[in-house]
Order: sequence, then C-alpha cells, then structure tokens
Amino acid sequence: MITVRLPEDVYRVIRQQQGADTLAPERALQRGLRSCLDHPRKVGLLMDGTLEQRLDDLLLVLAQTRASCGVLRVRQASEEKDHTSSRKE
Amino acid sequence: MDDELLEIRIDPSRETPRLLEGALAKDGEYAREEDLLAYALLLGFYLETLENSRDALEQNGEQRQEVYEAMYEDLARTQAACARSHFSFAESAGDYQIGKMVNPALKLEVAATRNHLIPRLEGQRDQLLERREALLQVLGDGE
Repeated sequence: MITVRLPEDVYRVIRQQQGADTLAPERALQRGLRSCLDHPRKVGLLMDGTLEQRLDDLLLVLAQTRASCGVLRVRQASEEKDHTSSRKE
Repeated sequence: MDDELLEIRIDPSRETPRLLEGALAKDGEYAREEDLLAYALLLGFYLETLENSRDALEQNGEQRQEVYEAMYEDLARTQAACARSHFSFAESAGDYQIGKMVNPALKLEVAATRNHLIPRLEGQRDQLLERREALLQVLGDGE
C-alpha cells in the first residue's frame, strides 16, 4: 500500500469538481506517473502550431504548475509540523 | 500557513513500481519519492479535471479562443500563488533554502507576468507573424 499526502482543501476541491464517483486515486496516480515519463516538465509554452495544439500544451503546463504548488504546500505543512513537534519535545 | 494534510492510501498496480522508478530517474525536480508521488497524484487529478472542464466549456459553445484565454489567466493566477508560497516558504526556512527557492519563485513571477500578456498578443498573432516574416525578409535582403 502506498500513502500519499495532499493538502486537504485541494483534495476537497478536486472531489467537488470531478464528483466523488469518478474520483479514482489509483487511476490518477498511474496517469500522473505516465505523464512524468512522457511529458517532461515544461517552462515555455508552444507559440506555433494550431490553437488546439496550443490548448493541449497550456493544459499540461497548468496541470504541472498546480501539482507543483500542491507539493510545495505539503512540504511546507510537513516541515512546520515537524518543527512544532520537535519544539514540544 | 495552517494546511491540513490528508493521507490517501492507494493500492498500487503491478505497473506502479516501474513507472515510479522511471519517473524518479526522469524528473529533475523531485528526488524524494514522497514528493514525486504527491506530484504525480495531483498531476493526474488536474489533467483529468482540466480536460473535463475544457470539454464542458467547449460543449457549452465557448469559442476555443475564449477557453484558451481563460486557461491562460488561470495559469497566471496559479503561477503567482506558487511564487508567493515559494517566497513565504523561503522566508520561514533556513538560510540554505533561501537561495535555492527564491530564484525559481522570481522566475515564476516573471513567467506569470509574461503569460498574462500572451493572451492579449494571441489576438494579434497572425499580424505579428506577418510582421516577423517581413522583418526577416528585410534583414535577409540587407545581408
């Protein structure tokens, strides 16, 4: 079993947007890992190509940026928690 | 920041260890397995959510250009929020973290500003490409 930590409010928003019935963490994890392998992290956006291609590119960058933001919040919360518990000790 | 963390337990498929190993080797940003797992899970969720909302907008008859511009604005907001988080994290972290984290934060700020401008320029894209062609032609003629 794998345990993954996410900010609670982020997960709640995703649940609301997707609907609880369609939310499958197993499938999302597979999809995310495959995307990491197939599409390296993008910094710049495609400016040539058709509007449809540029939309796909934008969607990927937006998803990558939102995911990075989530990881940052997990790290920040984890470190603050560790810091508080070590101060209590 | 008072973020509450949620622990999600996932029963991995047979393919997961291989994918995880490959992703760890390929991703330059997250060397820690737990960070990469959180990133991959969120990435998968966001890809699905964004695709669904894009499809819904298009089915509602929104023009592609409008969907594109709405997504650009969302990207600019997300990058700005990310930059602010980086900055506050860097401030609260030890000195050794600051240099490492502020630079990407500044890069994101710049990217957010630039990306906010791009939708406006998109409207003039064809015109700008024509001008570029004309300029290149002039420069080529001048050589």
